[in-house]
Amino acid sequence: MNNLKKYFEGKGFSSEDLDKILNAFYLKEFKKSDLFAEYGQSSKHLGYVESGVFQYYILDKSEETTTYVATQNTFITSLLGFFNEIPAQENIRALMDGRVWLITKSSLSRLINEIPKFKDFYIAILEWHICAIDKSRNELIMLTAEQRYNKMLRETPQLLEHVPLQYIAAILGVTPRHLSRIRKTFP
Amino acid sequence: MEKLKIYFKNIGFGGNDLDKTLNAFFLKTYKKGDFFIEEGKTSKHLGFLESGMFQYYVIKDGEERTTYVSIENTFVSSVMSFVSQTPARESVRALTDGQACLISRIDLKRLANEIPPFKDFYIGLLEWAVCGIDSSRHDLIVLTAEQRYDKMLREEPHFLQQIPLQYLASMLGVTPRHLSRIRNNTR
Repeated sequence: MNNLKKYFEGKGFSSEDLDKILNAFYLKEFKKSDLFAEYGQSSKHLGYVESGVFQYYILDKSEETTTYVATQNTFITSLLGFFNEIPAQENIRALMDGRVWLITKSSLSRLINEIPKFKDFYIAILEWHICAIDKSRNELIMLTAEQRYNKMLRETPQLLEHVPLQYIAAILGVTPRHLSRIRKTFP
Repeated sequence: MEKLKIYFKNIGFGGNDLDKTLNAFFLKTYKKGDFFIEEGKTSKHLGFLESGMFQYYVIKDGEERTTYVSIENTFVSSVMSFVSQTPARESVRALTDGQACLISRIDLKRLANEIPPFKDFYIGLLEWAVCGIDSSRHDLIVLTAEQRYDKMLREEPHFLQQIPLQYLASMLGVTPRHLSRIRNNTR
């Protein structure tokens, strides 16, 4: 059984609703370095990562800045692009081979309108994401790189296992060298 | 509650739905310096600003750092605290005397269940908040202070007209002096 099915079953949908929901998604394979979304292009899909790791980044004078990394069993999308139907403000790229369940914005809207319980699920997902993003924004302002590393170690150790160091450094807002120094001070 | 009424009329509310919605809000008056919510306390209300201006800030190294400012005809809330009913990570304070229409989380949930268009309004508000917070987090990581100022000039010029300079500077992450220099260069 796939992770997407497990995920929605865990949310308590009836089998009839579950069929409708799962039928609205289709699976896409990504090779390492394939783009899920591209800066300046429209971003019409929301994805659920069945496997793999995806890097959000922007390019400035050929310098890459990572803004986020999405791992297995989470949703990915270029948020502003997807919601507002404007060009994406970032690139999203596969860091390794992976598979993603995709749903278009119009299919998502259809599910929201046809399945009352799905509308409530959608509200819960939005509320959850607001909290996660707001927290990350607050930490960028309030915490030092050491404190952010320490938090990642406690709260999302799976990131440290799956994501190459240079991207971890980028997420924490430090150079890879600085991150090595920080890691040495943590046993 | 004139402005709140206009707001809901503009998004298609009328008759019974409009009356029920307005009845769930109550008007509160704020003096300059009054708190909408204090860091560490749980935010029980979402507000709509009839008049005045509210500053969101955190204390970092003993200093106030403004993270956002809400103005007339928009919603004010410590979003994460309100949505997840956990202690606020920031304080929100009146920069001027003002009035806000408040609704409790319980009444908000009740309206969402009783009035289908209200649920859709709430989804729209959440999508708007996700985009706003995501965009602000993104800008903190990838843009310089100059670029953040440029962006505000393009996308939220009303902020520059209405918000006192020292708070604008703090929001952009620069000293008021640095902001004056940026403004001189941009003209």
